[in-house]
Amino acid sequence: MAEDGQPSRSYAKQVLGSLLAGLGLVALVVLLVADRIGPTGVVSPARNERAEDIAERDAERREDRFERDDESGRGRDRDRD
Amino acid sequence: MEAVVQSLTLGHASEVKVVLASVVASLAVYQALLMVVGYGKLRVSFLRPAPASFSHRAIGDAVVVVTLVTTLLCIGYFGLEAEEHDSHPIVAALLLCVLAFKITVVRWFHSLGFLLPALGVTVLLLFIATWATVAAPYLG
Repeated sequence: MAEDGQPSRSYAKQVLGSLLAGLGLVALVVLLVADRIGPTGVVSPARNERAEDIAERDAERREDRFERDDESGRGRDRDRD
Repeated sequence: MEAVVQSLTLGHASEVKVVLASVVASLAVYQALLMVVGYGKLRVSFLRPAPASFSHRAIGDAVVVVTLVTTLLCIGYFGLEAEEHDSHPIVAALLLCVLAFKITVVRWFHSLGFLLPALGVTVLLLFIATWATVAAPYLG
């Protein structure tokens, strides 16, 4: 802190630097993960297969949920909607 | 809610969830590193403890928001029921409870401040566990 009680320039620079480092980390993780599971498959055809697997698993899970809802009566509300 | 999630994620709810979980898990690791500097356990020339603690609080606020949004999307789309042998909902619920307790201690119960390092480590481990239970099947 500076003498007037305001944060010093060095303090602000360090805060800004650490926040930017966090932002950079987020960007890196998004790029890496999206590249691995992204559905475009532009670079690697394997990504298309992975996206299909994910979509299948998603569909199965949602189907199971709908069945459970139907058994418990909530499905009727959805039909009515 | 399902339609909102579908529209927000352009039909790729799982992928978006995995990306968001990976982001908050990596930020949790970064947060732990910041607090190692903040508590003075690690001294580096380019970052002093006070700015490290300030950044920890700022990034922590953002992490909580992203975590809550991800939780809402997840519950809205997949529901609350756990599949058999699926530990993800349990680990995630535990994470939310510990996170809420940690925030309570930070904001209001300063007398319990001595618990913060332990709570921080617990939150970090739970973030990693939550990420592992949701992302491992997709990234593995």
